[in-house]
Amino acid sequence: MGIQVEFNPDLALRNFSECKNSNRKKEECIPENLKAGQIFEFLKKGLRNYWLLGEIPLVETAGNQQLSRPLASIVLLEVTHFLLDKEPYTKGRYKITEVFNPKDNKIHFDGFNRLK
Amino acid sequence: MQDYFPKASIVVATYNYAGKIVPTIEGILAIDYPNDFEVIVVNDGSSDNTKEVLEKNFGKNKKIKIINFEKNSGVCAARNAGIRAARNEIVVNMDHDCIPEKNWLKNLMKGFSSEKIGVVSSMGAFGGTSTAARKNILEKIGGYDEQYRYYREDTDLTFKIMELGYEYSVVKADYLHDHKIVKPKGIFAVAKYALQRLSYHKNDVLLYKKHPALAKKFLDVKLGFIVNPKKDFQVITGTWMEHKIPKLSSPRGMVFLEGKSTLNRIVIFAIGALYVAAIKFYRLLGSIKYGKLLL
Repeated sequence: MGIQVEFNPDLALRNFSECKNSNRKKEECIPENLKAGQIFEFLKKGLRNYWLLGEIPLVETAGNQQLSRPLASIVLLEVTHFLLDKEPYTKGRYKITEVFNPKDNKIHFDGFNRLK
Repeated sequence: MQDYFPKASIVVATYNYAGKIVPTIEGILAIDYPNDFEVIVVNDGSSDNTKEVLEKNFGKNKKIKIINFEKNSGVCAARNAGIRAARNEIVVNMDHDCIPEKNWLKNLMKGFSSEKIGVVSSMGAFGGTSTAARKNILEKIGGYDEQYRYYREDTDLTFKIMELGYEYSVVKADYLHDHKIVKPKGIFAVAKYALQRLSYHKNDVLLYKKHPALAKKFLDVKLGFIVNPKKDFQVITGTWMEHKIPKLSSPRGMVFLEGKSTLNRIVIFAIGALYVAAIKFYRLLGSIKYGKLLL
């Protein structure tokens, strides 16, 4: 009786400078030093369905869907939805599986498929 | 909170599924779980021999409770009967066509990592199959809203729990969705199927009326009264996840036409546009029924 739903194809977080300038919480920003194996928490405004069944790209967003190239490949470990002052939020934890070189032109994902 | 494995009641609502219900229940009985669990099968007035099949295979099993409805009453009423009959702290909803993997329940329970978590699902779509909730919360909210009958009832339940201040957690807990896609044959059967699917969208209005803040985000409501037409269009043309070849398809995975040629693509986009207009019309009917404008 299930209905398929749309999933976010990536986890898009803000530049770490926005966290330093106190505009954003740490969990809303890309961590300063990404290393494979590290686990971080994230926080996003809104209700977001994320793909838990494999790797997805971690990208940087400047807002209005202005996204960077994938900075890393991650696996979402936990996703939780909650309301705060009647506003929905999505939080969770993710693990870095590989950090990409932002200067290379390699394609790392094709939709939800990780290219290796 | 570590290793939280409370006693669980697994509710399986079923309707006319005599041929396949046995593997589902056997799959649930075969799971590896360190605490007690019971299975409550609610036969929602099936007109086939589901009742006899259940009685023959599981009638003497003490882990299983069978509830038979005289008349078909809808999935919400069936699940509510299961919730009322449940004796355990956690109630899990499992669809009759889902066969769990061995560690399914253990993995699902890991989602209850704090007292703040009220509902946990491995389905990811704000409830549905493989969704667990605390029984005391389900009782507090009155279970499923039977006005829905089918479609959006799971989302409504999850939203009600979130509005009480609890969190909704999504985890990875695998199961096999043994759903055989039976494509309607012939133009009349396809039309009947399309009309049925369209009529489900009346429930979008009820969801939006009851949970404006959450449903606004969930349905992507623009200007306070219109669901983003792009979203509706992407579902019917199969372009909602991977933007490759458009397919005239249903969200359940049925494909009626693939856009392999230019002509096919034109047909898909034309039918897609028509279907979006039809969805808006059905939401208008829902708006009249429920007294809240949503197109």
